[in-house]
Amino acid sequence: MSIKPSSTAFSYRKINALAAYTIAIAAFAFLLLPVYWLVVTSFKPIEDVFVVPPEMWPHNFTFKNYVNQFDLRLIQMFQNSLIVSGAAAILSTFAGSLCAYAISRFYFRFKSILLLFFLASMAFPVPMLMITMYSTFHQLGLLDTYWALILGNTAMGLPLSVWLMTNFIDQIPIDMEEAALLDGASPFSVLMHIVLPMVRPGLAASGIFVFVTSWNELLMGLTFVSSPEVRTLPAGITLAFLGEFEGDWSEMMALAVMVTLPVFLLFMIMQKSILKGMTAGALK
Amino acid sequence: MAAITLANLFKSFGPVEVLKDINLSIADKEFCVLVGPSGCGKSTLLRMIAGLEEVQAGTIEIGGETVNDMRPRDRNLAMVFQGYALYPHKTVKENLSFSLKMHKYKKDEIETRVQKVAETLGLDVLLGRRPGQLSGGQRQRVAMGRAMVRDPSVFLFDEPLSNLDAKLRVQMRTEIRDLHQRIGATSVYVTHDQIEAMTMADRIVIMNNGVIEQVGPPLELFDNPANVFVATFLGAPSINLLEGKVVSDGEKLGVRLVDGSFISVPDIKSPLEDTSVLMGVRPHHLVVDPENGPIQATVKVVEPTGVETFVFSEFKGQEIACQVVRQAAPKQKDKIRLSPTKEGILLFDKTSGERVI
Amino acid sequence: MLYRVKKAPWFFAALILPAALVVGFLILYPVINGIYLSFTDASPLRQGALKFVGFENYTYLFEEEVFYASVFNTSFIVFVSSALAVIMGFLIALLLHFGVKRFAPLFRALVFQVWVVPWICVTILWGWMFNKEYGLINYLMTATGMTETNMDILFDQTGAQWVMIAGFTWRSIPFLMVIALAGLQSISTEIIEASELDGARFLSRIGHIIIPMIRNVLMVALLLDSVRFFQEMTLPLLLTQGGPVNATMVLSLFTYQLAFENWDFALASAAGTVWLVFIIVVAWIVLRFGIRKEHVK
Repeated sequence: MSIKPSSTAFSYRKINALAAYTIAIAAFAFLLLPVYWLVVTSFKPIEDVFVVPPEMWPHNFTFKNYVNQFDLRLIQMFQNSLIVSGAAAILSTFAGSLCAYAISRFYFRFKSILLLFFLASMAFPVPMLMITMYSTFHQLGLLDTYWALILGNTAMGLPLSVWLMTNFIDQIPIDMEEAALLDGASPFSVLMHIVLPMVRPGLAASGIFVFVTSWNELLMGLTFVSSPEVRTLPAGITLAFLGEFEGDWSEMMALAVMVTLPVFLLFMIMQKSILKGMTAGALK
Repeated sequence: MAAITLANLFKSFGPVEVLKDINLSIADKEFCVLVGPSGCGKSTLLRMIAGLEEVQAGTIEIGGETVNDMRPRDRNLAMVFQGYALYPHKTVKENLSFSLKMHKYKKDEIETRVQKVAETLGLDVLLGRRPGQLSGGQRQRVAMGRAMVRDPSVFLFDEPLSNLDAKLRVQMRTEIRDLHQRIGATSVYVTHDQIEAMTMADRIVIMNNGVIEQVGPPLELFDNPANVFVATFLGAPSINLLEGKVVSDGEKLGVRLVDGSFISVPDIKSPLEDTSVLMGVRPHHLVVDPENGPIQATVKVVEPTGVETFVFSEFKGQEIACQVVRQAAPKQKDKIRLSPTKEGILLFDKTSGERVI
Repeated sequence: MLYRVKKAPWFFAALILPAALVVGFLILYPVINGIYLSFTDASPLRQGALKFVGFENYTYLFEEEVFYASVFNTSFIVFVSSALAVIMGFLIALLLHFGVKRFAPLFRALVFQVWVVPWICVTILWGWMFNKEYGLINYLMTATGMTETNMDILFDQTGAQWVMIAGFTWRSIPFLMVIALAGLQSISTEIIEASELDGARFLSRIGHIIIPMIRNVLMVALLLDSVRFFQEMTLPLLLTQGGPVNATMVLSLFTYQLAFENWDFALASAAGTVWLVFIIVVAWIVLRFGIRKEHVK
């Protein structure tokens, strides 16, 4: 008996697949085009930038833009951003996890209101919050120090940390904690030694979210800090753009790329836990 | 006319071949059950008939038309899924009317049909509810109603009862069978449960590892299995298989078992002498014969089921089952002697598994 | 539940203390204080006690054309961006889920890189891309014949607004795509197959089955995104400073300028309070009418 392969088997499915791939590639090209343009321009010498039609690929590939922009000032700002973002990420995650554990494991009447409040607080007008923060920091003498930015960013990131961690902790069955308590462990060590190790992806996700948001944060960086020694990257670039910028676009692009690189790398490494955290929360 | 013909069907998922040269004809109005262990390819076959899986080689004909390249919705069939696949955001009524709406039926036509099906299945009170508010059995009925409402020429069932508890399952079995009598559409029903197959099918198609082992009416398959697989698959407790060799006791041919006992078997032809065989005897064909029973076994477990009692004994390291009337039940550790009835002996070639007697 | 507050009050207090301090002092107190300040004449330039001025700040705002412009612009830009982002994010998710299944994780990761680029970088990039003589956008538009000459987009009122919309949308699509994808993945294939057998064509499947099932998730995502956009002011601040002629003056920029350029804390607080009320109303409307609450299995 001979076998007849079905010649037009599901041809309509094949056409659909082809169309889908085409549109998908077009969509992604569209989305990634600006990023591509950013990177490509940063490697063009300044003269090549001002041509029409614009070069899609740098014919005179150069690192000059990066070298020119990479000075002590930039390093200082990098350092500042690192300190502020790192501290905010740690504080926010720490406070957020503890609070999340309380929300998840304690019964109290206004629990849903509390969660709703945390979510809603992300909608509060930031400039309005900054007004009081400014006065408070001024009175405490914290203006123009790292602390103003660290505290401000922690406050901005905390609601998200609480939300993320509450979701993660909710998903862990209580049994192990109950068993540990029965065995005589203190509630505190149950939290520290049993629960927190199990929500490491959540901790990572929270830390990274806050880190990235703080790294990109502009308003507080501009308002609470005036001296260049404490200035963060976004503020620094903004002032450079509004002030000394004279049309050296390729150097600006190089600067932009350098500012993006750390968070980009960080994100690449920790991708999985972030996506898990986001979708877990959103689907509820 | 909605007969289904499958010819030379092949299907692979990557390197794994799941269907190998399937040929099958299902008559119009027949209730055909595809049964087999997990992974045998029955669901894949069903889905290929539905059009949800691609046909890689061979043809599928429904009602005389080759449907290989036809979209599922054009094939005029309906399917009841294992998880029911009810639309959770729609009411029962909307679930039932959806397919009619998609096929552009007129509003009053939809109304009449939905009402009729709802009444037939006892769903008319539930029309306004959503699937989330229904019990398992009710959901199952809505799934069936959704299939019925379009009056298709072919019904496909993909293990629809496996999510129900045992009692409901028995009840739904009869309901489905009953509906089939009334509606009379060709039905292809997939299950892994051999009892469902036995009780519901006009014909059973037993599948294993991508091939069809045997096709036929339930009792035919039960009494005359083509090979060891079919014999062991149908019937509970499953058939006893005893190793032996075909020898002559001087006058006639019979089977010598591992313990040396000789069981004479009528109708053995001489070419079979000296072959190693498996002798298959179903539990109800193994009777207690205290004087002459060639099989001597020790009782291990006695299972009374209310009417019959099953006795599991040990014979030369093997467990064998036999059936007795409850009054005559032996006790644990008793020594009993068993004898197969003449009609109940099935011989299978040990290596190939094929039936020889 | 593992604990009751009554039984272990110290533990509970210790757990929430850090968060409570931060939220209390830096979020809750500022909001309440802000509302209070809006009824005074507060300003860091003025020493001495605060004078209570009643609704003066509010009446001033409501007579200011710029204020109305900012409310209107913000609404326009935010809602168009969110809507576009949800639609495009959903479409791409559809594409990934049904069309290109195999590479979905790869595409998802690639697209998500977009989120990581800091706003200032996007802003600078946008400034360059929309440049009049040498910008990429102008080149593409003239090359494809959409326009005849180069346009100074950022100096055109409608053009500038659309530049903002482009920026916000571009940045949001990955986020919404991920949410939509997760939503699509939560729909069992059986249901899609059932609808195929029921005769639903591709568009019908999307309209009748898929969208209703993930609608709530998308609505929530839409709301969250809108709220986030209200806060954004990097783009208008750097590229247009709210211009031309207040076309891109958004509420966030307006409030910020009042507070930290004019140093009029009172007026800024009033603007902020109006903003807050506005958001609450919008959120209430979306949640009340956009979300379906029913027993969905």
